[in-house]
Amino acid sequence: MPGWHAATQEFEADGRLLNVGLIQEQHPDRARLYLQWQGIEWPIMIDSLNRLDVNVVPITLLIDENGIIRKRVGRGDTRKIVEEFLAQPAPAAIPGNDAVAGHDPAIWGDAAQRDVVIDALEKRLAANPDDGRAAFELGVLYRRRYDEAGGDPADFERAVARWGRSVAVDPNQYIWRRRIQQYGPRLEKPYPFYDWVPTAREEIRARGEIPAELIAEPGGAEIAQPIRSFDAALPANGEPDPEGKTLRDEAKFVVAHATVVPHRVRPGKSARVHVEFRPRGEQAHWNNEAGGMTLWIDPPDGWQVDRQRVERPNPPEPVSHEPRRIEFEVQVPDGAGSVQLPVYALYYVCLGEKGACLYRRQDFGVAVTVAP
Amino acid sequence: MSMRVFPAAVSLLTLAVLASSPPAVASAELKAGQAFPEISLPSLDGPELSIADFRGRKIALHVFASW
Repeated sequence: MPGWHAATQEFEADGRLLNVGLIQEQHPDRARLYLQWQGIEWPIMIDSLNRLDVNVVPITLLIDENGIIRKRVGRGDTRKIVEEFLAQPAPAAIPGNDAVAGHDPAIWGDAAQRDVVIDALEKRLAANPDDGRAAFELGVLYRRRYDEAGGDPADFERAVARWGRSVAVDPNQYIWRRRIQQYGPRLEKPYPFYDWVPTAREEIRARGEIPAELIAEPGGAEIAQPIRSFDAALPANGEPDPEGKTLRDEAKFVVAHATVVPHRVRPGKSARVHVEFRPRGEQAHWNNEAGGMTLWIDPPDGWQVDRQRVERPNPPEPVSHEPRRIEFEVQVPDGAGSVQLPVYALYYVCLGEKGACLYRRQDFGVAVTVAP
Repeated sequence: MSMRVFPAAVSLLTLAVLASSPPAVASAELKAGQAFPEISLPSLDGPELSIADFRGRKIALHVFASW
């Protein structure tokens, strides 16, 4: 896109050409940050549900005065292509129709409306499990609900399961495949998708501007380099509670929820485990002055993790209430079967404004299913 | 994002229709010689946009992603 921007600025300035963008991303706000970084101010249409059934990006369509696609451009001499397009005389005007809404307004706002759409799509998918489009759209809607404050942690798993179904139905739908890659294990991805974000913010700030805010920070698999091997896994920093003496969070002041992507792992392959911790209700909150959260993973024989001990630093404010996410990767052995991967977390949590602050341990199993 | 305001009943009806039969837009239509589908989509700046809004102008439509 920056290439097009540079090559067509003068045609835009004299009004001969209008550049318009069309994105399918789950998080359109990331495109906003990207465009701010690149200094591009085109109108951008958002098609997160991919209603236009785009199957390849990037492409450019040259569209004439009547809305007819004149050329589909991949890579090439942009300036020459545009000059040829602009030299074509305007065709005789033909009347058009009114545009129909190409999206569900529900995904952008009203939660109750979105739930109606989700129910309808679930019914469609139940009636026809090979309805890949219904499965993909459900993934988009579940993930959007998950990213909202107070969202249901299980929605991430639902999203991944539906996207997994959509790609199983049509392995060649590029946009659908990208979505599962975005949240999947690093091994499955061609490059880190959002590693440009820190650079973009730095350069935008250096220009004296404020970077556009992101609703959901890219994390883990979205910005991590693909790992090619678990052999070079970081050495463990030692088990934090080897004798198990730390008191357990019996009352579940913090609710833990794990999601495995992909849900079923093929023998010998890797999966990414996302664990989310939420302080329960309004009363519990993180005690950030006390110390960070530690996660310990104890893989059974034959299983490997990219790291056994994960430390999560705290935000600067003394107390906070946000969901905390920790990710790690697991490589499963060749044999099939189901395993509960033993994991525990250690954290500082406080109850109420003047309530007790506690250091607690929570043990849980992450269910991983290995199946061909 | 700005929202279109629908009366609730109309909105629910619209959603039910969309959920049960999304616009049949095939990728084959995004080829040279075909009209670009006349559907409106939300935009980054808020108001809905359609390629039909820009009739009379030459457009370069970039299908892209920030990833």
